[in-house]
Amino acid sequence: MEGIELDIELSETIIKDSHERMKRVLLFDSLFELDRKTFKDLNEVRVDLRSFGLFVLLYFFEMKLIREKRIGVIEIAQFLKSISKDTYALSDSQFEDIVKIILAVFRPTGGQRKSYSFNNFELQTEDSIDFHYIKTNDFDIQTNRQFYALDDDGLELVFATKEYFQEFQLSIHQLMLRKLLEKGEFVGALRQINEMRMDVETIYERMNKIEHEIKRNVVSIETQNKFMKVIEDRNFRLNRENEEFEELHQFVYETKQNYYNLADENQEARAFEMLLKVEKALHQVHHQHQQLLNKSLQLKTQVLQSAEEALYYIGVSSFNFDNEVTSKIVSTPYPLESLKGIMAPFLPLGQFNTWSFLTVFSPQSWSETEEGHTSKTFEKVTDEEEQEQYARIIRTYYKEIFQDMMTAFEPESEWTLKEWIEKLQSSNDHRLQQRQFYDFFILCHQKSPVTSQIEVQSEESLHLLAKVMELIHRRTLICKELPDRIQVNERFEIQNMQFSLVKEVAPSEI
Amino acid sequence: MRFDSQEVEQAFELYRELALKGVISGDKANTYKVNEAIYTLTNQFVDKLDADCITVGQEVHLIPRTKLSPFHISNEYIKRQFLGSKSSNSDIYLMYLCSIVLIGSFYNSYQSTEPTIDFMTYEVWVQQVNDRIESLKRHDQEQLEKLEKEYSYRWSAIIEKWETLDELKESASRQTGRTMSRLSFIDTVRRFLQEYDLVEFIGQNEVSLTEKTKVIVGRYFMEREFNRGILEFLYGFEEQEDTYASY
Repeated sequence: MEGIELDIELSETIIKDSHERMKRVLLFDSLFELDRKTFKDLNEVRVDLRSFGLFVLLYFFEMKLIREKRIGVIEIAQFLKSISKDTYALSDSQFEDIVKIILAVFRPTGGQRKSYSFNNFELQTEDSIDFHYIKTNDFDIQTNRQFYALDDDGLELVFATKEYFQEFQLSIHQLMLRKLLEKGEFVGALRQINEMRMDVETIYERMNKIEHEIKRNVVSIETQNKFMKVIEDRNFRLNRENEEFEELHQFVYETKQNYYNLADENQEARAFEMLLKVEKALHQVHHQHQQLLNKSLQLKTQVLQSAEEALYYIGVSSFNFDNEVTSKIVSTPYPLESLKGIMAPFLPLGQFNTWSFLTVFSPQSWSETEEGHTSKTFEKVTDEEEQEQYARIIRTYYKEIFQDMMTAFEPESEWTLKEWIEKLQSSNDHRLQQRQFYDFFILCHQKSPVTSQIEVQSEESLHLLAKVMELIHRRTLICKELPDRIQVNERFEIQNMQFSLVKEVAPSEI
Repeated sequence: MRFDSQEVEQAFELYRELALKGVISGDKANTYKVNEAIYTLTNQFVDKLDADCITVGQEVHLIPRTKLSPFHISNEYIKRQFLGSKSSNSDIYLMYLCSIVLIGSFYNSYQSTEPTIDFMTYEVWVQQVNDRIESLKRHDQEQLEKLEKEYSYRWSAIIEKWETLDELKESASRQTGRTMSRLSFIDTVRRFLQEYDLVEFIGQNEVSLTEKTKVIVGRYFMEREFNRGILEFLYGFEEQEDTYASY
């Protein structure tokens, strides 16, 4: 049950906010729509309309910043021309055509909205999203020119293409965590911490990548500066994040103190428990984060070291292994030995392995050979539940046997096992074929005298007789072995014994 | 240059660890880099085994030189370890060929010194080897045979080896290269490369290069001096061939 509930919770988390998330995905669709359109320049080279589309939006954005409002097709065409005149051979009118295509995609000419429909799984309905990238701004009647400006979604697309968010992801999460803690939403806070952990892991992976890159590429001065800048930026941010972590700790600590004073009521006790979890999780993430700081310092030394190496190292500017080695060997062809020679750097040196005869006299380890899977003990039922179930079955089974036996000899209080077995044989009872049947008598003999007083929990085997004891009811069952043996069938043979039910006999008499 | 005995001993210790593990790091690597006498001595020791040392960040790697040397790992050893007792020399050279083809597939661009692909599937790998074998077959058969008699060119044995795998299990769909036997040979090569920490087995019949391989290609094959040595090693065969041709 719990598993299913958890699944429901999981899927709810996933389909939550479908509309918003879908909107972010579809936001970019117009750019890909542009990419699907073909426009060729005078030399039959395909024009990259997708980039142009993005540039147009950015152009609008920059113009908005300087409050330039009169932006029409001609201005945009001039701008596109200025950035692409070396790339494409296009006439002015072609540039204008391109601008018209782009504007038509961002702002359909028929006046209809840019709309997408999809199945919203959260609300279980058809859902649709409209986009407004560009709006008309002004109209000049004299020159018959239309001016445009950036609309909401256009602006959002511009922002979405800037990578602000990735860098500050952890800080954003920290901010949100604080807000959640202030509001006392500890479940949400725990989730927030988990997302922080993911951020930390991502940063770790990225730093690992940088480390490998530094290792492989010996750093020239330019790349050294580049790496240095990346690492210093990272370091700076890590320090800031670290400070924030410490403040968060302090904050959690204080909140905890507050709750501690209120901890008498049930509601608060639960919240306090959650708060402890939050604190623990926060500690873990913080610890991971501190290791990042460490790593970043190591990276810094590594960059310096490889810069030092660069003084002695001159790399070839390009090397195509496939072409210069593989193809060459095969196409010439070179002798087979060349293969071995090329492989040599990848392989270790040869090692001389020898065996001294004196090893015979050194201490030998025997344990290894016995450490196999062939254990000498029987497999045990390890699962407690299974064991309990087994005991239950056996208990009922013993009870059945004993009850049958008692009723068979009622009202006598003494009988032998032989008599009982003979009765069963005459009725061809299947229990005679079962091992547990004989186990029962052996157990009875072992535990004799069995009284109803013996503590039930004292021993496991007695525990198995628990139901039998209920039947004995204030009497004592005594089993005494007799000298003869009973050959029940081919498989089983058991010593005869005498049963007697006595009222209240102290164990010491036997 | 005179060395005092302590330095010699220290250098030998570094050399011993390098020979055993192929890499040293931490303090030992630092000693190697900082102490000039130890640096020189270790390099001399390593040189005697036809190998070079390269420093990579905080590590020092020992890289056997591209040449045929009795100090490098022997064909016999590899054969015993990976190919079983019934294998022949052509098996091992085919294995080398497959390995080189694999590395080449990762580094096949003049534009970039980084690998061009992230991982390789067995199918593509087999296909690449197929292509190479095909181009080998295009050589003049007579010339190949002639060369084989004069010199140790046993390419036809390798072609045959690969083609036999073909004939056994792949009579119907030759061009695809999806044969159990070829795939299983490729799998053997994969185990061989994995044993020496050169590839990583990342999933169902997919391999990627390890950092070790990338370091060896990036820092050894692409270092100017070593690179020249490698190409000289290859061109050396060409000259020999020329001398044979001129006789």
